[in-house]
Amino acid sequence: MPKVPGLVKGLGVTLGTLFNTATKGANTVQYPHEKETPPIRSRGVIALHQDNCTSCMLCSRSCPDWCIYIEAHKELAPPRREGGKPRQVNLLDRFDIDTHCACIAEFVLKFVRLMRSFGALSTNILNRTSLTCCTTRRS
Amino acid sequence: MTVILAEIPYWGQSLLRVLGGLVAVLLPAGTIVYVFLFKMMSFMQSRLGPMEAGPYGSMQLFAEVGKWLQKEDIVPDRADARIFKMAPIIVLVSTFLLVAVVPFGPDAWFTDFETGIFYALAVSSISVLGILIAGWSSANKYSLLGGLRAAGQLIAYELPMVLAVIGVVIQAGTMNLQKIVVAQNSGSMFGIDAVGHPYVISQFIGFIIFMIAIQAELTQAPFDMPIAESELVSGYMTEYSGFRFLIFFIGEFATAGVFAMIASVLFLGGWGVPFAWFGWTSIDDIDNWMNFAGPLIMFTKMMLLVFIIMWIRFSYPRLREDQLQRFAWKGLIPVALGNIAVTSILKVVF
Repeated sequence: MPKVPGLVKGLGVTLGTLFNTATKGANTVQYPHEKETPPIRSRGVIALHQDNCTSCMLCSRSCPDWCIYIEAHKELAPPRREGGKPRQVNLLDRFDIDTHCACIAEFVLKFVRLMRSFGALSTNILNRTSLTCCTTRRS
Repeated sequence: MTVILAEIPYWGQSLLRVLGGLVAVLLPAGTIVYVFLFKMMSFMQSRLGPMEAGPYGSMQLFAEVGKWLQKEDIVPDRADARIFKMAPIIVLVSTFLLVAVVPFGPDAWFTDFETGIFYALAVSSISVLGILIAGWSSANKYSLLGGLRAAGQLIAYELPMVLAVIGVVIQAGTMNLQKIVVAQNSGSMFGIDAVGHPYVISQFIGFIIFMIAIQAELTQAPFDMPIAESELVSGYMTEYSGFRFLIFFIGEFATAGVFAMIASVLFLGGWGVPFAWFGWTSIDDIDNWMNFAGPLIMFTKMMLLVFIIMWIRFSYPRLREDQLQRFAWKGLIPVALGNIAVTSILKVVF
């Protein structure tokens, strides 16, 4: 069989996709009406394990785009043992991340959970700043 | 049709002709944009295209037009404002002038020029002027480059187009588009009357050359160097916004429709069906209903040809500027000249 010229093959590809889309449906979803289930390892909205966070600023400093905002203040906590001195702890006031973070460093994952939900950027700025609302307590 | 027109005063006839011209230009343009640009391109990329405005996004075009009309009509600071504003109108006017010679039925035509195809080819090059002055008057290097590329390309591909048409003219023995339609439909092929004699078969090389040439004339990919968006922003359209961009946009797809109509007249038998089907022998025998069926047949053939144009547009990547010129001057023009020579020899022999 003689070789089919690439130009003809290309026309065949586009026409084949046309018929596939017409008969089997498109590869895309109509986003606001139907939502895709993200893959298991997808990185979506970031949630913080608040109890693990010591406000060490490591994540904030490691972010190349300065996307992570952390504010904390110091407080005295009751001593661990009887008769000991009160401990000094950092209490987190604010933990904000500007975007869905894709490049978050490996070590941070101990303190931060990448959730599989998405769309936090889609509606308005209130959704973005309310990222701290989805910080979860470690069970 | 002629009987009806005789009872209407002259101004009424003119008004009807203007309305008919608007319908003949804008209806195909809108249909082409929706069916091919919105839907077919999306389906070829495995997506659905616009779905929100109206059922299956059919009102999307009105939304787009509304959006463009709202935008500010910006003229660059150093631009030659009067010329800059005129340019898109010139491009669109050439389309309207072009549709004037296309016959839609035995009596349904705007004008019946004896040298119709000559007029069509002459008028179609007016749009080059519009594009060139659009590029020149924008006071923008990208626009200027786009305008020059467009001028070079349109002139280069005008030639093979004219030469491909000459083959048809030789075979039909007339330049009148109406008579070319009649010659195709009243002819016979291999002694069979029922197929007529569409020139797409006997002038197949001419048809291929003509289709390639109009693809380039319409600056559709793979011949869209004048508006190459990765090199020249948007070529000669870079500085245009709002209403004037809309006119360029309409002009592009309306011209695609009109050129496809002319191609269907020249090669596919235009508005007609083979006359043998209904026992007609000449144009005078044709029943009056053909004046209403003719435009529909024409529209179907036009959609078929535009489908081919758009299919190629959505499949192939852009050529390089020098490849484009080489293809026209070293490829198409010699083949077209050979086609003319062979056609005229065969015409004389048989």
